[in-house]
Amino acid sequence: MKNKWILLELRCDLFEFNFEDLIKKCGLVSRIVVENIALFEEKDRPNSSDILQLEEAIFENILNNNPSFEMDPDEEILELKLIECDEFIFDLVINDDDLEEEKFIDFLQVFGRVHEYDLEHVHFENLEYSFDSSMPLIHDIRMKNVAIFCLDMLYGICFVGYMKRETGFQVRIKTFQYDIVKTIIDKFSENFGEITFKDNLKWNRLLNRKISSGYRTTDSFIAENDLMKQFLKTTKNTESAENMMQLLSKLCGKGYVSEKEYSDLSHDKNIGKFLLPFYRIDKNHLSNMVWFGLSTGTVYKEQNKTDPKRIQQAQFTRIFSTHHDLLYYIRSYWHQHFVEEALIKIQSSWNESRYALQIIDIKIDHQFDLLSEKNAQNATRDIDCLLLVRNIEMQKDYIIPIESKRNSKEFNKVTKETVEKISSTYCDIFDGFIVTSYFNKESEENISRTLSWACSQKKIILCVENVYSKFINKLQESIKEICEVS
Amino acid sequence: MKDFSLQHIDNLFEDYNTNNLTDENCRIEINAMRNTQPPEQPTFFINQHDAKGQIRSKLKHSLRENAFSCIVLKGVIGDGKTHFLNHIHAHFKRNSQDFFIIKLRVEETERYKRNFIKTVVSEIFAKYYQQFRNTFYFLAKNSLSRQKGNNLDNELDVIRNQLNVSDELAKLLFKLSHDPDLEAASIRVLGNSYGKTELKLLEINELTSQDYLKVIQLFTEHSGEDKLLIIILDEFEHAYGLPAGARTVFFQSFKQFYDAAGPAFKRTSFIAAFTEQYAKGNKKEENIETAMWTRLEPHMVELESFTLSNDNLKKLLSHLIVRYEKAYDFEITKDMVLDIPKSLLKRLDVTHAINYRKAVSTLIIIMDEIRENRPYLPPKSKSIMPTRQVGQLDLFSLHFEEDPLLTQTPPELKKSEDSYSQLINLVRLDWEKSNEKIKKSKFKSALEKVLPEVGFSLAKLTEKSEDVSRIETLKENTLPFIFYISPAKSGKILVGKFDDCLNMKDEINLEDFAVMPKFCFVYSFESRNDSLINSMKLHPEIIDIGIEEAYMYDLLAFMIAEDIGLRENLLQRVRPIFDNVTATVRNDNEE
Repeated sequence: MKNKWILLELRCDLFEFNFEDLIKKCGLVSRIVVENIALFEEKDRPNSSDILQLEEAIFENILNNNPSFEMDPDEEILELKLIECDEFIFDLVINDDDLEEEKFIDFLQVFGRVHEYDLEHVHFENLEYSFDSSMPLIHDIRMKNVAIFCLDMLYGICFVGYMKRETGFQVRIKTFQYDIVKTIIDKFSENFGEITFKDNLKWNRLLNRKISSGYRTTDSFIAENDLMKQFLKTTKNTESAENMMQLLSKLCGKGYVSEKEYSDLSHDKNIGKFLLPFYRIDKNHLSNMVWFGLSTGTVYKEQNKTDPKRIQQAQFTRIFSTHHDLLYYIRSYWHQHFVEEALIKIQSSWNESRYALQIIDIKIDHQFDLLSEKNAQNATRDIDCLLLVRNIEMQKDYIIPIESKRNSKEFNKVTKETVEKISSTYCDIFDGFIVTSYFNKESEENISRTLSWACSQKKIILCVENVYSKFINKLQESIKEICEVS
Repeated sequence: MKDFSLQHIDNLFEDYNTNNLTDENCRIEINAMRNTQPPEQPTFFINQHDAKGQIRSKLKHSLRENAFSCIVLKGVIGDGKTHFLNHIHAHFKRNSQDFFIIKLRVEETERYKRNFIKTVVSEIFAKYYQQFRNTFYFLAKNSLSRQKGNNLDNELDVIRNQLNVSDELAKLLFKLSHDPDLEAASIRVLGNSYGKTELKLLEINELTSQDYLKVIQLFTEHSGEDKLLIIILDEFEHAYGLPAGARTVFFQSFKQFYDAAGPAFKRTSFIAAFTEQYAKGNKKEENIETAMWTRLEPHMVELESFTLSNDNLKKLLSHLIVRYEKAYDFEITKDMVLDIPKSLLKRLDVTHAINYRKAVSTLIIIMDEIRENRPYLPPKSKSIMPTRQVGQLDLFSLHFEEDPLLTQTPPELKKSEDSYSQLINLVRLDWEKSNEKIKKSKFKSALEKVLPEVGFSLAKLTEKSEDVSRIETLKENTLPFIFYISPAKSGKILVGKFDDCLNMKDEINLEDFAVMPKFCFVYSFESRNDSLINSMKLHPEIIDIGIEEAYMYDLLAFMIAEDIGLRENLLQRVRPIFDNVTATVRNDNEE
């Protein structure tokens, strides 16, 4: 659970204020006031009457210090902005032997304002021990020095921990808005040649936009059942791949195979074992009474009470399908698991072979808000599989969402939705998109398109294959294409 | 050594060697000009022989005579002033070993509480840290008394007298030379880039503007005999857009800077650009600004207004085509080149004066249409000429069809311009005396009048459509566009407004819309600061509609103009404001 903070900022171009005095005067308890920004804990959040009182105190201060100033009530001379936000902690190492702590302060002073800087423990007296609170403000930065730093941006306060070690110049930034940490990181990248980012900012930002816990835990027993595991394993069998595709096409469609279809498939023992016989009533008038003979397997139905021959044997056809739990599994989870297993396989094979690309993280079935500009509020985008891939030679990370659609015909729809459900504010988080499909490889093979947002373009690749081993190869190629590795 | 620097000044406006152009640079340059933005690193600049000559001679004078010089470029909107300044900046940055060059905007002074002097010092510190540090470190060391056993007071006396500095500055220089642990902190205070900790460590008070003038003076004197410091201030007129208090601080500090510079600064040139219309009217009558203008007037260099003559068109095309071909690896044939002026004439508002910015951007758009095979001229039969690279073509030998509109000003244009100026003056005076609330509602009304003319029908899309900061519309009757508007003059307030615009977007229930709405932030361009630019970059989903003051008056004038011809002219002028929005719609359609 991340710590929540309340930021209150006074924005005014015309006058200078001692904001800290004004905050105290109104009886508000702030953990720190830097320039015109005050930081509060949730428990000390100013309410609307506090804000009104503060506004009055500000105007009184203006009039006292500027007696000749004629206040026009309609003139917008200042604004008080309040926001609730999570803290954001980001780690990096600057690999520059010549960088000294004082030089680092020089650098910070050039693109922002270092209000104060000192040894971390010197700050504790004012920023930690004076408050009856268990919430650390800088105590969790754990660096030898801490600079209290401001950028010329809204809510631009942050704390920068730093120290020189043999392993490089360590920096830990604590801030309260993604925009601020992004701006600082960009400045660091522009100024210092070699930086090792211990965290991936885009990845952190994406996970920060996550909405639910994601995985449908209530159904997890289905996936963990031996029958389902056995079935998933069989779908990966190369010899049975074509038959399996036939079967899955029927099961995902009408839900069963006919006797004729069964006879074509049943010679494949891998497949036959999952199928059970059922009777399908051809003319099923459910409004009428229907009864079954348990021993004979006969089904009767009552047509018309006035007709003495009203009881007739129902017409039925012998069909084959799987256990209903397996059918549910096939329709809800199987394809996603098929893709997931392929990804895990690629992950371990690249890991064992120490390949240039490594899959660092795989997140399954998460929901995100990639439309709102500020706090994540509604789940607007599901991502079936999310990959974090690292090129270990170039120390570059790639974020690739994978959408699993059983049928490749859905590619157009996914393409359209990807642009609609990810706004241009967030599209740069991703390096490319992959859509995986199982059916229809003939018609839609090797498709790669360009998705366009207001300020960027990304590649989306369709990877369609029903033979598991070939699917793994195609998926690898697609990932490599996005990561620009031949 | 000075000879090298003088040579660089001589070469300042030499044509850039086209062999050195890279595809990437050409793309960046063309892209900027297409969007009517001046390129950051321009590689050509046509005409303006007088201005070029004066700049060269003033820079040389400063360097040769160890003196201060000042040049103020004056021109009308879109005449390429920023383009000009960027050209100078890029040239000297390429030769940075022989020059110190800093480029400022009025908006950047916000960080230093509008103090121009402190902004200059911080910029020098930021851009030339090592030279700045070395200059003051050696200066402080050399100023110390060599006598052993000299006490602190005597040492300070020596520094004070030798360098003619204040007590605080003397104390700072003493600590700089005396205590290695305090060296970095001292340099930061000298560079106006410090916080509470530095003052506490050094046990000194804040330095004054006077002290910082001295810092600039000492830097120009001691940073190197052969080095010229060039300070560029673009869009000087934005100072008028500052809120009253901030404006006073800016002009006071600027006047202080200017008064000290003449007699004291060595090898320093100040080059500013300002848009002519702002120097007219009642603004000039204000005290501090009048004093300022009286001083600057003798140094003003008027830029020639751009005219669409055959000669100018040829020059422009020859530069543009070479860069366009490189940027897009696309061949523009002689046949196409001959058609470009006709296409240009067809689409320009010929009843109103054309500016450099618009001519360049229109020419690039025509080339885009040629490249994308979109109709740029009505079809006609023509002989196919053998194709070859325009780089090899002699554009100056091409003969464009003479068109009277290219060379003369028709009498109806003159008449129309007079009534236009009268109306704009009226609107401006009315705007200036309005308070914030009235400005906001006038701004909204004006936009509500213009938007339907450029394809946006007003609509009620949400419960808050009446809000004075908001206009809700449908483009082509189907695409929802919501405009958040703020005429705020203060950059700080404007950043807050942008945040409100983000909140507005997030509060809207997207499920209520069959087509995803687009959001636009409409604001006064002169008030935007780096912080706003950065925030907008981080939220590209919001369409940027920054309206320059001149266009704001056009919008307001359109609201009250009655004459049909004048209304049409005003509409032509304000139409490009909505280009960003139109581009978004076009991109979506292409999808």
